[in-house]
Amino acid sequence: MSKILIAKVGTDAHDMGVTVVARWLRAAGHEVNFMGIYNTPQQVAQVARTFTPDVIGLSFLGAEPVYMAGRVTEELAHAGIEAPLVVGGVITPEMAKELAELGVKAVFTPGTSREAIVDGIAEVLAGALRNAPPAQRINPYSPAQTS
Amino acid sequence: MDRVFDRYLEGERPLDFDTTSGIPIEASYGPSGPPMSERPGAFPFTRGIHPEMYRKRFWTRRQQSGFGTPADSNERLIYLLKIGQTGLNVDYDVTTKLSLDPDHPLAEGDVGMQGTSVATLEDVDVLHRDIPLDKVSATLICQPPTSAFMMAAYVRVAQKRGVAPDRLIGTIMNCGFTQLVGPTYLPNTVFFPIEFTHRIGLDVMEYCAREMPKWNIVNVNAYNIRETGVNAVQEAAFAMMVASEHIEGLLARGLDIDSFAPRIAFFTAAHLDFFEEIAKLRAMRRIWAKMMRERYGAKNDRSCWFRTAIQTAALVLTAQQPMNNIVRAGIQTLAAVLGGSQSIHTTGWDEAFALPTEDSHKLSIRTQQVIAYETNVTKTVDPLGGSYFVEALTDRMETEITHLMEEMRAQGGYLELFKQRWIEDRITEARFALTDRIEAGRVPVVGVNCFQDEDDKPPEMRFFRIGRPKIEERIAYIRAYRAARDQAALARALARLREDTAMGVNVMPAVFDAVDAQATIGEIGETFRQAIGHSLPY
Repeated sequence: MSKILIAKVGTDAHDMGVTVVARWLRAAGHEVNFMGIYNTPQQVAQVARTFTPDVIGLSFLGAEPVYMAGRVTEELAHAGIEAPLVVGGVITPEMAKELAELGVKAVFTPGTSREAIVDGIAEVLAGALRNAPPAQRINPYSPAQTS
Repeated sequence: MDRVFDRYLEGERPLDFDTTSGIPIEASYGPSGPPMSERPGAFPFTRGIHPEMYRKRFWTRRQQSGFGTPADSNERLIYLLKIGQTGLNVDYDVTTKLSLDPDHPLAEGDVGMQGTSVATLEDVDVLHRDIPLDKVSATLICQPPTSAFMMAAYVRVAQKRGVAPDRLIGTIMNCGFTQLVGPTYLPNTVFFPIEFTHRIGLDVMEYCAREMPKWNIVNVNAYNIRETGVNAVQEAAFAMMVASEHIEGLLARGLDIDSFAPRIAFFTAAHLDFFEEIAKLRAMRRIWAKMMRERYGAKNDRSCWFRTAIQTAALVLTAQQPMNNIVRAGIQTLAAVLGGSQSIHTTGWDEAFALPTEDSHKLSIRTQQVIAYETNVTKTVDPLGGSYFVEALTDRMETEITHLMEEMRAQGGYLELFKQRWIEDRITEARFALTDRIEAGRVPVVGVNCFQDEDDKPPEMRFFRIGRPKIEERIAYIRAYRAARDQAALARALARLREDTAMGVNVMPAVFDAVDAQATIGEIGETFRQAIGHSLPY
């Protein structure tokens, strides 16, 4: 159905949540590329260049997630990649607000149900698909549609 | 609303009649077989390793702490001691645990986040400032090869303060198989090969066993094993098999079993299946005692004492309605006490969000103090001993755990099974099964899949947050530190370390030299990798 790139960046290796989420999203029919742990923001952008995901998911515990999501956004922009970002993990409400301000489309915290995650990602994908990729926009200078 | 009014007449009941590891529970238990006739403090120590246990001395209140810079963490250590902590539990950040310096590119968002950032001898000195190292017991949470640096640095700091190594009290966790996030495959193989990690762990254990009679040489981290999602039987069996690897490694080096076994200890989880957790601990005591005497020929009773620190399991705590976690942690702490733990970390109610604030740290300590001082459960040993249910469950746990251990031994032991990814497969199986069951509502989690709040508002609470400036402070520090040293002395020390590592001798003397020459943790780690030809993809 859609292509989802999932990764943990940085030195944290708590991967129970993200492993289960990757499995759920595959079961929901998406093509999931799970990069596992110990990735740098540059490595995520590199893989995104060839995989061309429709959405990118990051998972955090213990890191400064706003900073790291910012770094990933930077590297993606640098590589010319426009996929929306979603984030999961141990994230306080304050951080979730800052992530939204950064442009992250959804934040999934512990205890979020499978249904909520699968539906939530589907919503993000639907929102993103309303913005056709640059090559397909008829008028490249018209403002992007937002959900 | 009708549903609400129907609840009384409908009645609620358990969803099944099993323990969380799948052992069936009968409606009631009665006498079966000979009654429990063991006394606490007598082999095989099922009822406790001492005859008086908490009547003589309470468990140690040992909350983990660590964040930001060594100075930040030292402040929190002093605060915790002031409010009633009785032993230190020093947690380093992942960067430190991986033997990386704070300016390593992979660590740019992580330095000081899950623990204290430590990279130099000076850092260790600052972290333990104003704390008498021969009086206060400290657990140092790191694995090999970082543990080599950490042990050497701690000893040097103590010596500088006039405290010889043989007076130091505490533990270095030092388990090459179970630290970080437990026994998943990648964390234990990317930064160093697991055989190397194991070898350095044995080097540290040998050093400590010889020079530090009051120091625990390893903690097998059964807690981390359990946090991956496996059940209580697997937690115990994997932990015992990990311990076997360490024991056999030291025996292969010619050490006598009784010269080090009394200094092996464990770190286990206290989950919410109250009686299963207590039975697990009693079974582990019995299994350890028999294994040490029968399999390894230990003659000293102390070698047969299963000593454990406990953390109340974080896996069962929720982000939804987080105050419920205070209740959960309280019940888990009580299970740990009734199970005869040597020390306890009561996990903070805010665990699903952040490291503890001072207030949530304090509440954890108060939870333990209320149990210790107000409930009277400490006034007799193993109060559940003789309970038909608890004895039956203990026996059953012993059977299940022993059976799994035998299965693992027949397949080559823990390290072999790890390398074959058998351990990884068990973890993946367990994770998927557990989350499927939670999703299906077959594992009730109050606030998550039952009794949810109607509005999904996040809690309006103050959470702990460290922030990026601390990371930048550490990066600046380590760069300045590196520039201001005797580079020639450093180069000589690292050359010696590389040689000793490559030759396969105990690396501790060379690590001491490197620490004295002001090598950073990252430089020592990199030297190890160079010596064995292991490189990182960064």
